[in-house]
Amino acid sequence: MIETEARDGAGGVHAAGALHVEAEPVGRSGLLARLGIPFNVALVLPAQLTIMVVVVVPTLIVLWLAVTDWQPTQDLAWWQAQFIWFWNFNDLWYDQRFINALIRTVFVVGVCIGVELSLALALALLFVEEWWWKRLAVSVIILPMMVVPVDAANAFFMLFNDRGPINHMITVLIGRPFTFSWLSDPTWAMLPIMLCEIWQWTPLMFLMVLTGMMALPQNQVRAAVALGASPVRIFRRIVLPLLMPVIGIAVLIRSIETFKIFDPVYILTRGQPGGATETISMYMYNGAFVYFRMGYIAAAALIVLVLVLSICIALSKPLKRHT
Amino acid sequence: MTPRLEMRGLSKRFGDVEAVSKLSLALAPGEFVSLLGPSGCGKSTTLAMVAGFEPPTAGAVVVDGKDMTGTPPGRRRIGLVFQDYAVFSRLSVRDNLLFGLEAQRLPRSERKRRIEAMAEKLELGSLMRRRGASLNMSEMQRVAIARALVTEPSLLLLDEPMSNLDASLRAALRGELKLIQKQLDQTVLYVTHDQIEAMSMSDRIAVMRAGRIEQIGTPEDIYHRPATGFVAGVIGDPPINLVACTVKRSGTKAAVASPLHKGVELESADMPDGEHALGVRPHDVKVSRRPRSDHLQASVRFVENLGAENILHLEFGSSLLAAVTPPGFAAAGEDVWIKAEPRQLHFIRRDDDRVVRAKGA
Amino acid sequence: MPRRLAIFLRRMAVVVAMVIAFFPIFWLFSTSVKPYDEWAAWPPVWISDHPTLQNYRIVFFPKAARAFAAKQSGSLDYKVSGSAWKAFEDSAIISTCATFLSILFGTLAAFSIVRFRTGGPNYAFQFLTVRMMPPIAVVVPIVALFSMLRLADTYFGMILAYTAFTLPFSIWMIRSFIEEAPQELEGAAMIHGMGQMEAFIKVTLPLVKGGILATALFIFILNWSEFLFALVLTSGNVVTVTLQVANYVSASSGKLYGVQAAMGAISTLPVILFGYIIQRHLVRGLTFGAVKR
Repeated sequence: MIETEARDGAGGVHAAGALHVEAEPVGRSGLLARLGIPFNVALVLPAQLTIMVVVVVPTLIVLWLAVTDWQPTQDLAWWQAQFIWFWNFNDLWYDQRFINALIRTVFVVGVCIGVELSLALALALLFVEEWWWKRLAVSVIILPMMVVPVDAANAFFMLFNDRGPINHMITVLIGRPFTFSWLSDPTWAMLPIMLCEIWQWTPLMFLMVLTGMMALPQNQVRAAVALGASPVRIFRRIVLPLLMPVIGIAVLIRSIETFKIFDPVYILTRGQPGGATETISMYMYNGAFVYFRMGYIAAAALIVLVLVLSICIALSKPLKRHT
Repeated sequence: MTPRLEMRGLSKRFGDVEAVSKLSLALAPGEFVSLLGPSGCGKSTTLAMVAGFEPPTAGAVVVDGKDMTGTPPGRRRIGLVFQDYAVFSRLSVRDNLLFGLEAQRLPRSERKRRIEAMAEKLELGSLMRRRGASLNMSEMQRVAIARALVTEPSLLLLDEPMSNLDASLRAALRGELKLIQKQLDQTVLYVTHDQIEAMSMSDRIAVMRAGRIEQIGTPEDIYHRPATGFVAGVIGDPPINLVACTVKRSGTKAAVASPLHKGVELESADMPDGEHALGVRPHDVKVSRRPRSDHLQASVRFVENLGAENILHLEFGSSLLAAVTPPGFAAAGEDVWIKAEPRQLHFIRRDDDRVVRAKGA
Repeated sequence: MPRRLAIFLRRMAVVVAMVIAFFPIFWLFSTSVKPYDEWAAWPPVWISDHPTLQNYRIVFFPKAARAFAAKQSGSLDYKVSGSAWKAFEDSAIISTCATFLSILFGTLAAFSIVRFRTGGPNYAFQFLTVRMMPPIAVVVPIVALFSMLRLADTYFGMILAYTAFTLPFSIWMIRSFIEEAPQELEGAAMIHGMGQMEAFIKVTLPLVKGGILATALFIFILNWSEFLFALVLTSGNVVTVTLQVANYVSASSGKLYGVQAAMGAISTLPVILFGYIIQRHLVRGLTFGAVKR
């Protein structure tokens, strides 16, 4: 069941009430009492502190690094790096490689999500009925989700090898030897990467859409059937709108994750050939750990952070309203 | 005339359980027929088979003379109203009504005409733009009915459409539904467990039990001449009183002795000797405040005051009886004198639950 | 279209999907038992006629690795001649500890957020932002910070980083489980004199035990599969299984497919196993508790 306010048909509004218990400011532990820390705050402290150290402080450091020219190869500690105002941002603005990486990543997200969602919907429709080996089918179809991404990427590396099974199958299909070097071709190298991502995560979309479909008010579909509508019409006007909350969450979460894509890119191409498959994460990795221009990359990181956060915030309000 | 709907020997089996057994029933055009029975009696399954959502294990569903047993629900020209109304929550009320019409590919002018006519009949005018999910229960019900009727189906099927509403709404809607049905001359098959709905709206009632029809008849038939004790118990509010009685046969006659009567003769001597049950409706129990010669004494245990009438719960020998009286007739602790006319007695056979009447009733 | 044909076609479509889902994994396992000459043969070998455990031996036994290196002319990365045991050990240590901490901190925080509304209505969303940013963006300063704190390439550093980045999952998932447990039971216990925390531990915790366990397995999977931090934050002292796969390269032959496949197959098995155990909760986990079965 999707945790939304659903009033379809049955008309009841689902709301969670909360027992309001005020935490005693003086906790049971003597130490907390002496420090004046409320009990409930003490409970979140471990989590909060961990985040502080590993995420918040580094983010502050990024703010500093972004305005420096820190390159670890110069034997300077990061706090000793040279302050260069906003020159990093200026350089980034004209850095075609950076812009390309961003655009390329957006393209990857769009294509992958689009394909994943379409496949997931199509598959889910196949699974609304019951048959005796259905559970087995579901178990096999969700297998890709449960493989370590690096191993999946390696498997795809072998599959798309110029002497691999993919080329073999094409050879058999077209009758001529086909030993195309997918991963060395600037135009096509992105394909194995996207296919790896799609292969691995379509099952998740499938499960989510299936969950949504199982939770659909059955009688609305039956009513549509009784009114004489065709299956296409029923899907388009009744099922799909009812699935929107699930689809919305699925697309949002998967888009964020796909935007961060790194493992397949690193394993399959490292961003080559010639930067043709460089996604934004790969770009930043290369910049920071191959070229060691960490100050510059920190500025890039900042831009990316701001971009992602603002899009998320912009999207989360209409999404919350819609569900 | 061809019946609008014919169910011929419909049966439905789920594994070992036979939910519906050889059910046969015909509805004339314009008739309002209710399937009445407790939960589990198979009425909803029967409706599902007529609608086409449940394939029968045996038997046929014939609509307007055409066998529809293998036809999918969308092509049966039926209207369906579900218990939870199933209004399309993401569509506006107007789009809900349009849905079936668009599927039928009617011209735009015709669609408009029908929707406006139906909206007026069911007072949906102000709701047209509202989204399905934002309606309250009774609004949803009207939309569900309108949506089904606007396609002008041969047959309208309703599955307990009033069980989600409170009592006052039900009374109002019973009247509205009956009115619309008469106006449109719509053939209706109505499933319910509420005998008030069945009695007030139906031309005929089919009382169901364990997958079979116990009795079909007009409301008067069912009420005054129930075929079995089960039917007698299902109909009538307050429910029928049951008292033990003994039957003694002598020759071609059978006589009954009960706390209420001695020696009432039964219309047929077919009844076996021994203990059986006697049913008399609370409305048929005559109550007098003063002792009368042919009345029997009873004492009032407690009184239910319903405003327009009182229900006296009487202790009568070792039995308990309910009787209906005008308000304020008697109070708890008082004695009253009661009588029941033989022709209003229902003698219920212990072996097969059939009802036998008194001679001359 | 006749009904039987339509059903058959639908089932066939499902079979096609199953084949596509299974194929890369099949290839991985198949390659892991191929002898050296079949790794990059043309036409490619789908199922080996001479399956061998040689690759697995190279992964686990240094002697086998060295023997292999001796047979193939060309240098072999020194990491290959080591054994993968260290990688499995390191991954096990880091994943387990990080999972434990994440669950512990997460449960405490989730309890506080659900019962006390700590930090206001939007507090929990702060933890989501951790997952929104590309890790690479914070990795650079984390490297800098950890170097300064002498945490680079240490177990503790890795555990800390993994804990932080899985906290959003543990907090949100456990939160959704706690919200599902009826609150009245805790209330009843407190009326009988228990303190809030005690009531939680003795009454609610047993109820959400299953959910917390599922969350733990889920987070373990995430930790075990993690690659980027392992790549950047370690330089040899700590090795995870995800890194180890990339170690099997040689200057002359490039990627050692068979060995990589063997390493991959072994390292992915625990994840597949755990994944199937918590199958029901995968969707809930990956959507931060928003979508539940």
